[in-house]
This record gives sequence, structure tokens and C-alpha cells, in this order.
Amino acid sequence: MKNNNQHTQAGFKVPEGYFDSLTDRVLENTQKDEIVEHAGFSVPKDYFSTLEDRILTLVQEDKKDVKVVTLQTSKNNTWLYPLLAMAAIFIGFVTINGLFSTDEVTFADLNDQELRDYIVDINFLQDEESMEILYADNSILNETEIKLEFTDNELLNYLMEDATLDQIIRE
Amino acid sequence: MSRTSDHELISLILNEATANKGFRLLVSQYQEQLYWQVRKMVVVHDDADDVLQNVFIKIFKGIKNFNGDSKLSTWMYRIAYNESVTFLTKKGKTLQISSQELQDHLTEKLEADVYFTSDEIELALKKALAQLPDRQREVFNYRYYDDLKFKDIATILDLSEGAVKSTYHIAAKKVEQFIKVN
Repeated sequence: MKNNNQHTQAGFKVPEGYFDSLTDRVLENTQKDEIVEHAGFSVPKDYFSTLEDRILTLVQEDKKDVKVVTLQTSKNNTWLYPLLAMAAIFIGFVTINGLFSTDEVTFADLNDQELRDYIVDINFLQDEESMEILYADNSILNETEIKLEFTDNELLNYLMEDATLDQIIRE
Repeated sequence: MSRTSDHELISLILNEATANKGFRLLVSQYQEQLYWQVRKMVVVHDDADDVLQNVFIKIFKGIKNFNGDSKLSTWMYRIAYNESVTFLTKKGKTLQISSQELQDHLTEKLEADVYFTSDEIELALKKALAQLPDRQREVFNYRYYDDLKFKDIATILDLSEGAVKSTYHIAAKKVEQFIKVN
């Protein structure tokens, strides 16, 4: 009987054990070369065989990241919650108003540019509140000198330069 | 390998002692279906991979609340759909383009994508699908490629079955017309 490595066919030889492992190797290569395709799309080689492990690792990491701290529900601590609520209200109040704040911001503290920017930003006079502010102090209107008499030339110039037809009709 | 039923999978996952085994089985059974669903929407492989990971994390976190009103696969499809839509919306915002422009952009990239077949018919079909409104494209993909029932598509997309049927027929007509003309 010939040795395994001595099989000859037309003078050719094969390495020892070649045919014993051939089936497994062929099947392995066939599976590797199988292209997974769907709707014209394909995926990188071995994508699905490694996906499961990657996803499970991710899920484990995600679980570790989320640590849930259980709130104490002991009856001994029932006095704690009102105390904590009061503390929170106090901190909130201090944050908003300042601890011993006596500084009062007055209209005079604002410079003109800030005021102009504010009016442009908020579209001033578009709401009821703004109108009330405007008319709250009538001294502005009283102190304003309104000229009631115009010369013919002034009126003509106004009509020529400033007034639109629409304005004239409305007035 | 024999397939584990959805009911068994859920029981395994909900039991702390067998949760990992159950989830591993779930991933192994559904990874391909969900991947292809996501891939058809986001087109690019790397994007599909990112979205799919988020999908499985959401599934894992939410499975305790799965109430069994629909099939497990339909519930997971819905998560995958929502994640894909969220991803595409973010991508559109990042690129500062509309949903339609994004679809055109993705289809253009397809021709150079090594993970896309060079099959001309598939490419023509993708170009036709890119012309459809989002909803019509989604319905077409689910029906044509995944062979899902109209009822399941309706559950995933939160539509009535009748609306899904008519949307599919309109989409199919448009695709046919586009391929004829081009």
C-alpha cells in the first residue's frame, strides 16, 4: 500500500493529508467568499459574523454607563424632604434676587445705545404692554411743543417730499 | 440552527439570569433583517452600521415595555425606522439640504460605492426611488424588497392599511414611469 504522500497521478504528488482536509477548506472558502447582498447593497466581508459580538459589547457598556441611584424611602427620613424643599426654595430665591441685594436699576442707568438696541430687538410698540409704558407718563406729551400753524410753503414742501398719496387719503 | 420563537426570546431577555443569552439570540436572529431595513433608508454602509447599533441599544432598553400588541419584528422595525429617520434628519441639517436633495446626494454617491452592486437595473431603481416623497419610498421598500404585509407596514409607519396600499400603488406607478422614461 502506498503512503498518503506517495499517491501519484501522472507523476504528480500531493502533500501529506491534502485530501483529508480538502473538503473542510473548500467549504470554508466558499462561505468566506459568499457575498451577502440585498437590494443591490452589499456589506464588508465578515460584517455579520462580527456584528453580534460588537453589539453585545456596546449594550454591556451602555448598561454600565447608566447607574441608577435608588432614592432613600426609609420612614426615618420623612422629615428630610420638606427640609430639602425649603432649602431649594431659599437657594432659588437667593439666586434670583441676590442675598442682600439693594441695587436698584433705574431708567437713568441705561445708556442710549442699549436702549436703542433693546427697542430694535423686541420690536417695541407692537404689544399692549409697551403701549401702556409709553402712555404711563403723560408729562412727555405735555412738554412736547406741537406747532399748529404752518405756512403754505411748509405744507407744500411736506406734501411734495414726505407724504404719500395713501397717507393724504387716510389723513 | 433552529430559530427561537419571539415569545421564548422575550422570556429569556426578561429573566436576569438568561438576559444575555436571550439578547445574543435576538441579535443573531434579527441583525440582518434590521440591517437591510436601515441600509435601504440611509444607503451608506457605515451610516447603517452606526444606526443599527443605536437600534439594538434602544431595543435592549425598551424590550421590558414591549406589550405584545404587534409582532416583535414589527416593533423592532419601527424602532429601526425611527432611528433611520432621525439620522437622516440630522444628516440633512448638517449638510444644510432638504430631504429631497439628501436623497439625490445619496444616490449620486451610490455609483462610486464599493458596497453597491454595479447592476444597472438596481441603480436605475434606486434613482427612481430617490425621486419619490419619503413616505412613498419607505412603503415601496418595505413591500417590494422586504415583502412585508400591508398591515405590518401600516403598524411600522403608523398609517392605516388603506393608506399604505394606495401609497404603494402610487409609488409603484411612479417608479415604473421613471424607469420607462429614463
